[in-house]
Amino acid sequence: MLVRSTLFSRLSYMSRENTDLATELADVQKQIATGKRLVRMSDEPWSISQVHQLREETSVQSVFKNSANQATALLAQAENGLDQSLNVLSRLKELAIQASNDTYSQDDLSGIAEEVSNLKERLVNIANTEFDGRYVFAGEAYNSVPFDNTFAYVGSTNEVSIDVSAFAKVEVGFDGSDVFQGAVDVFTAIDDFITGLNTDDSAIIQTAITDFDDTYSHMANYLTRIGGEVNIAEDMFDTATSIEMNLTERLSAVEDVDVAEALTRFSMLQNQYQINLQLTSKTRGMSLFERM
Amino acid sequence: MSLLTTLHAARRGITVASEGINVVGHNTANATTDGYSRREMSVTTMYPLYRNGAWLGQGPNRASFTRSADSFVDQNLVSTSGHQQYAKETYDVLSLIESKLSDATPGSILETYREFTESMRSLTNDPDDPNLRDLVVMYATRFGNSVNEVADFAREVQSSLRSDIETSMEHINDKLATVANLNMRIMSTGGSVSAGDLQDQRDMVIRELAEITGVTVRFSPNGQANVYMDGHVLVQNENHREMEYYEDANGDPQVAVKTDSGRITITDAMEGRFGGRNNAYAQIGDMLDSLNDWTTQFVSDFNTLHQTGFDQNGSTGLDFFTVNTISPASSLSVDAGVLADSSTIAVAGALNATTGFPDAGDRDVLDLLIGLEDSQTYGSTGAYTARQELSNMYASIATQVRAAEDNYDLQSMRMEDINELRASISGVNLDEEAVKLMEYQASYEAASRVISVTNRLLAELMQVV
Repeated sequence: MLVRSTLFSRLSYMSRENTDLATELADVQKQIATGKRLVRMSDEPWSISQVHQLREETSVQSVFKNSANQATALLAQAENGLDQSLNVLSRLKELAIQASNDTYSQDDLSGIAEEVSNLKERLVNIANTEFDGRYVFAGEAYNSVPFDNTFAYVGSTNEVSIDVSAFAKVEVGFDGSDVFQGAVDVFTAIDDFITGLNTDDSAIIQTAITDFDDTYSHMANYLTRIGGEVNIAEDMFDTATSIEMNLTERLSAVEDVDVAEALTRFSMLQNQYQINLQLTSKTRGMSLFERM
Repeated sequence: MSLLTTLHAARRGITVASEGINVVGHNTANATTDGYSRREMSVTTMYPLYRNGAWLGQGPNRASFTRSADSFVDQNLVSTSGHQQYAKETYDVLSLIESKLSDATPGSILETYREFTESMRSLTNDPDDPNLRDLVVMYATRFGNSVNEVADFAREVQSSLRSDIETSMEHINDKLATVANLNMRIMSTGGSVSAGDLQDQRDMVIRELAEITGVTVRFSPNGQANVYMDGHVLVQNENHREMEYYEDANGDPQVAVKTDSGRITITDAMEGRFGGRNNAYAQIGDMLDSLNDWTTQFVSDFNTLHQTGFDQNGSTGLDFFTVNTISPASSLSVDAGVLADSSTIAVAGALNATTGFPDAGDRDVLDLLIGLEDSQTYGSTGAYTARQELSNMYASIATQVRAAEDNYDLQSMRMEDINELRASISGVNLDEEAVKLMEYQASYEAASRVISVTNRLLAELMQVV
């Protein structure tokens, strides 16, 4: 209880209240303008660690999404290459079966040999597939042509992977020596086949049929594997997207302002402020001296 | 009973009434003066005369002018204003550092660190890509710069705090001398209105001192004020000691009271603005220490792994960051070799035996470098990752800012209460003064009327003669 109240202590009290209200108004205004509940770190020091963690996790998801996209693109290229390779092998096998019939003349066989030679050219072009500056079947040495002009493999035997989440990796670059020379060296097999055709050696042609079969199923396995990798990459993209959304929501719950609530508070404070201003101006005339 | 005695009594009435009006004038004129204490005049009757077996009244007598003040409230006002300024200054300085760290803004340590680690993650997609490598170098440089900036800023703030304290010493000593001098003048002036004014003046100087360094004061009943700092006398009656500034072996600022037998250091006991600055100085020092520790560990871990890797030219044993041991955070930068040529980032685990260079997709060391992000080896307990330790540093400054802010609110509230209490005791209430003015006016008029009546009686007597 105060014994005596003076005009000036009343006025300075009002002025302090007004300053406080104005400061609070400014704070709420800033929150509404920025949409953030936490404008400065010291607004809630205990949330800093959580906010940082959420921001870190959120931002890393966009890297994973990027990686998953890139992986999908690279895998599509490998898939496409293998598809074509399988077509080439089917054609080779078809030709080998035709050639194994004794009804063909040497001229016919020579014609087949020419087509086979073209097919070999196609196959090596596929093996040297380049996408986005990377040779898909060169393993880790993807910056140079994996098969040289003698059809020898000069790439790396290590496969290349891309991280699509903190734990999942997707293989996107393959060991060409295994793909094209793993079961049987397909280039040598083709060369042998051509020799068989030119010399009309049915034994060699028979071997070629088996070789092409083996290579076909070996590559088909790769195709299945790539299908699996594509699935992983696509799943991880979706996962990263949903994690990102989830985290963004959580982050927003921690650091964003409830606009409706803030607006209500703003108008309440504004009313109070106006009342106080009027009160202050009325306090002035309250003195006996005014009536003397 | 004589008419002359009546005349004298009425004259005294007029004198006292006009002195009263004078006091009302002084009070109302000073109603808004800072630190003014209301004056009151106390009036008694004159000692009566004994004439012919009767006591004759001689009118009023002004006994004294009193200064309405409560020494307990005034002492509290002084110490609380010291606490308040301490909190305010701590808040002001540390919030500067807080906004410099500003966690969400692009370019802050935390954001640039995140960008840097992300650029390394992107590099895993194609360790051979020169553009991705350039990006890693660019983000590493940005990260280094932002660490440098915070460290330099912190050091700059510290040095400006130091020189502020140093240059203000003379000002403080002047104030101490003023208090001692006013004490002396108050003692010699006695109980007049002007003594009260001198006391008000002196108390304002003491409050200023409290706001600067947080002194405490004791008022003695004879109107003297003794000023103390951490229990050591600064002003006693008309004598005072000086304060001095020095820097200790670490170059940290210290404030001491000079005595005949040497100096008494009172740095950590300071309140007021200097106390707040000293506190902020220490907090900034702690932050710098943790930032330096962090930088040292980060660079050492990163370089150790990077040295095991091979760059695109087949070289190994290369550093990625450079740092000096004296001020790691201020000197953190990307190694000149890497800066000049991003192909010297060593992310491969081995050389290709045929080519003599690492394969394009070899990222064994890069994976290890990224793995550092999750290694929980930071902090005094070694329980935090690099990012978590940075968050700790941010949180510690933010907590200090928040604590200072809350403390300032608390002290301001106490200050308001005490100010109001003081106003209730020492403040001028205009209505009260208006009423007193009416009283004195009436008393003056009545006394003059008595004089004129007495005068007429005397004149009539004179005519008879």
